[in-house]
Order: sequence, then structure tokens, then C-alpha cells
Amino acid sequence: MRWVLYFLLVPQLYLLAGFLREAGAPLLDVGALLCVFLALFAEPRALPGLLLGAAVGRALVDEGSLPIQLLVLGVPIAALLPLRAIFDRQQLWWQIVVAVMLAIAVPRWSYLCGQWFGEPTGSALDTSVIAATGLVGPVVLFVLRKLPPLRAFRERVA
Amino acid sequence: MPRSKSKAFPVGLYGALLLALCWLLMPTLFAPVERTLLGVAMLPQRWLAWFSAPPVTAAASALQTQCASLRVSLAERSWQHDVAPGKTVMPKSLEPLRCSVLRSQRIGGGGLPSELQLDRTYEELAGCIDLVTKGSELIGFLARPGIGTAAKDRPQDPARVLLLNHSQSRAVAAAVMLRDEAPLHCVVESAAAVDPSPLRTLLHDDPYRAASVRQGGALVRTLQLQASFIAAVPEGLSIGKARVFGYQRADGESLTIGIYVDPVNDTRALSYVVAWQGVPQAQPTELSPRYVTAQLRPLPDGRGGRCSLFAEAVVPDGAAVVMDGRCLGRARGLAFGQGICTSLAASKKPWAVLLLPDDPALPPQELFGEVVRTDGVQAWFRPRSTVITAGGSGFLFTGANGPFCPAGLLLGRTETESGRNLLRIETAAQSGPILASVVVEGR
Repeated sequence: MRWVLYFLLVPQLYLLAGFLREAGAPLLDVGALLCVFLALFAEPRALPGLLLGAAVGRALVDEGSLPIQLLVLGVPIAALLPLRAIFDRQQLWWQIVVAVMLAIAVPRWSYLCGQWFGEPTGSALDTSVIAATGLVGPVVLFVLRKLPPLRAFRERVA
Repeated sequence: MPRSKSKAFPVGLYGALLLALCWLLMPTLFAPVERTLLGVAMLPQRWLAWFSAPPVTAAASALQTQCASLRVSLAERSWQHDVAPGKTVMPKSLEPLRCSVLRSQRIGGGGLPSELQLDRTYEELAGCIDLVTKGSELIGFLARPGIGTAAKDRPQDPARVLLLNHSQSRAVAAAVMLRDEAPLHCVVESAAAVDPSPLRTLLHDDPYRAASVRQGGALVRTLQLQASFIAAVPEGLSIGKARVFGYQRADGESLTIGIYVDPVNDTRALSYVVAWQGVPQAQPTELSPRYVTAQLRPLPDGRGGRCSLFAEAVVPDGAAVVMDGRCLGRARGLAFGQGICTSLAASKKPWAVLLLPDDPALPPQELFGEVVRTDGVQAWFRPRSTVITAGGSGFLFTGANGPFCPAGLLLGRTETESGRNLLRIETAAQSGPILASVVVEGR
């Protein structure tokens, strides 16, 4: 059930962020936010499925194909995962740093993947999006972590 | 320790990344999976659409009413510049047959496409000689089904043209028209994919003179051979412009390594070519693709220019979405008759376009490039390798962008920014749901 909810709702987050942008709210980089959740909070065993759902959502708002989106989101997550053992994920400063890093890295990495694989993708760096993702992102993520479907995929700490 | 290690380095995630790489290597194998996954993700949007306002057909604007006459004007001027000049060079007994290009494919010399797929079958072109031209330029040679690269093709398949930079194309006797000197005779054939140009010259009649050529830009034209067969390459067809490649020596002299040839037209941008029929068989009328009605709703992606699309039939990838003859964008096909339409202004992908200048004396120009900037009202299009020759204003049409996006669909009004080699395009903003048509069956 948690997977059905995840695949139904999470891709819609990208469109919801766009809708809120049109209504005047700052645009959040939902891809970067989901990367923060996957890299810091998600169950490691569920990562492939969670990554696929996040990539499907990004493919709805970007011209790049689904495998490109898997690489664009998956590689930064794989790079950040080992840092779980070093930094405390509950620290707000660490979440902000990771969110800002990903808000910059995801479009840049997206650009590189697009160049390498001949599939141009959306890769424009927007400072307002980076700022919004860094400052508002962790708060939004805090709320989303408490709600289904992301709540069901949090890593349980013994 | 092993447990924390597996948490930090999850094999499943690496497997997913490896799968993504395989997916990129074999896109056709995974295409149905991608269509289904994205189609399922779009279903909530479709359900939401049931509760929103019904789509309307947009009121015809002045530009839309002009569309039909503009297409006629494009066809006439394209005929005038693509067909008529060839008649003066080709044998009188041959009749021109203008063919639309569906797509360019297969990387050849210079890293550019080396094959064109036409909108006509081999059967239809059976009465044609194998020469294919555009204006007074030699473009390439028609492939024959069952032979060479077309060994697996059937007569009912779309015909293929082997461009001069195809490895199986014929080498052509040519002359480099050097300034203030006698022409340098040589043979022109396909260059390697890593070479700076698609074609190269070799077997020069005077190698010493060839080694001392310093300036490029000289016209390269075909030479007549002593051959009596009808498909022999006639004299005077343009092949391109010479590009001299080499080093500057310490003593100031140049050391020429090779003389390459840049074709006049960007092969990625070609929308129409001309076949020459000795026995008129093919119908001169152009067949149009099949459209179905589709509902378009703006997709809130935060940037604009994208729409969700719901049709009654399967939407193919790259299908043109059209309203009153005007191309709104290209669709990405999803499962359950859905798609996502991206306008030219919002697209990051390259497009082949046709520029029809307002000045009736200027020829339509085929360009291949991408939108480099957009501000929501206007978009700036930059051609990749061609210089925009037509100054002033004009209209922009689609070029050959695949079998589901035919050439000649109006994209919008455009203004040339010559100094920066840019086209400024007026884009049409779409605010609510509308009814449009989408190509579901190409020619």
C-alpha cells in the first residue's frame, strides 16, 4: 500500500510545486528535496523504488528521459549516503547544507548527463530556487516526513 | 560493521544506476516501461481534468487565418529555390519530384547524419534515377532496397538517401574552383566521423598545387565524366565549399594536410529534397499525416510551455501538436492515450526549422538549432552551424523533425538578430485548456 501511495503522490509533488510557483510562492527544487530525504532519512533497502518514483516525477516536468532522471537523482544520493555515518541527519544546519548542495548539483549534473547522453535537459541554475530550497526546503521536508507516503519509508533507528 | 556498510553502500541503489545505464543503451527495449510508468503518473492529472473547465477551441487570430496562405507561399518559394535551379543542370528528360524528409539519421563523415529517410517509398521512387538534389546542390544518392545499407529494406519502406558523407555513398569527380587559378580536379568522398568536415577531397590532379592551397571557401562542383548512362552525375552541381586543414609553419608558410568540403546545406536541417524521375510514376501530391483530436491542459511545471495531452489514440513520441495549422509543440507519448507537449520555446531539444523571410526575393532557409533563451513571450533560437542569411522579419515553420512532425507547420512570427545569429520568435502563451490535434500516424 505504501508503494501505491508513493507512486501516486510523489510525482505530483513536482506539479504541486509548479502550481504554487504560479500562485506566487517560491519555487522549490522538488528533485533536490527528495534527494535530501533519500540520502539522509530513507530506508536503504527501499532506495531503488523510491528513486524510481522521484525520477518519474522529475520526468513529468523535464524533457529528459526516465533513465537520465534516474542518474541525475541517483548519483548524488549514492555520493551522500556514506555521510550518514559521519553527520547527524537531525541537525538542521546539515539538512540546509545538503539541500543547497543538491539544489546546485542536481541541475549541473543534469546538464552534464544531458550532454553526455545527447538528451538536453532542464539545467538552468536559479538562485531564487537554490535559496528557497535551502531555507524552506528542510521545513517542508520535516512536514512531508511526518505524512504518508514518506513517513512509511523513514529509516527506523534502533 | 557489515550491516552499516551495506547501509552506506546499498547494492540496490547501485543496481538501479546500472539499470539506468543499460536503459540508455537500449532505449527501444525499455520504452514501453517508461511510457507506462509516466502514463500512470499522469493519471491523477487526467482525473483532475474532469473537475476543471472543459477545453475550448481558441478563437482564430489574424496569424492563424494567414496560416494556409503562408504554407502555400512556403511551398511555392521552396519549389522555386529547391527545384528550379536543378532543372538547368539536370538532363531535360528528367522530371523533378519534391520529397519531404522524415528524418536524418546514422552518423557519417564529420559526425553529421549521413542518411535521410523520405516520405515516399522505394516503390514510388522506382522510376527515379539515384541522384538527389536540392537547388543546384548534389545531396546524395537514393538507396535501392536489398542492396548495401538497404539490404533489409522492402520496396514498401520509406526510401533512404545516402548522403555524400555516407560510407557507402559514391565518390564524385569534382573541381575545386580556386580563385585566380585553374580549377583543381579531385574526387570527393565521405570523410571520417572525427574529421572536421563531412567530405574530403583526394586524388588531386596536381598534388603540389593542392598542398599549397591556403584559403578555404572555394566552391566545389561536380565534373562530368565520359559516361552515357542517364544516372551519371552531371557537371556543375554544387557540392559545397572547400575547407583547408593544416598547420602554420614557423617560416610563415602553411602546410596543408587535407582539403575538406563543407556542404552548402546543414544535413540535419534538410526538410525537402528533389528526386529525378525518368519514368513518371510517383504522384506529385504530398500526403499528409493522420491527426486525432486531443485535449491540452497547461502543466504546472513552474516554467511554462508544457501541457498535458489526452487523446483517443496512442500518441507517438515526437508527434506534432497542431491547432489551426500552427504547431504548438512536440509531444512525448505516454501510456493510455496521454502525452506531454513541449513548445519550441520551452524545449531544450534541437529543432529543424524553416525560415520564410518576408522579402519574396529571399529563399526559405533551413536551420537546425535550439532555443537558447526565453522570457515567456519571446524565445531566441540559435542555429548550430548555419549563418542566418535572411535579415529582417519572417515566419518560422517546422522542418523535418521525425515522421510524426512534418515540415511546414507554422511556429510563429520571427525577427532576425543578424549580428548575433539569432532568431527572435514570438511565442503564443496558453492559459487554459484547449482542443488541438496531434499526429498519430506519420507518412
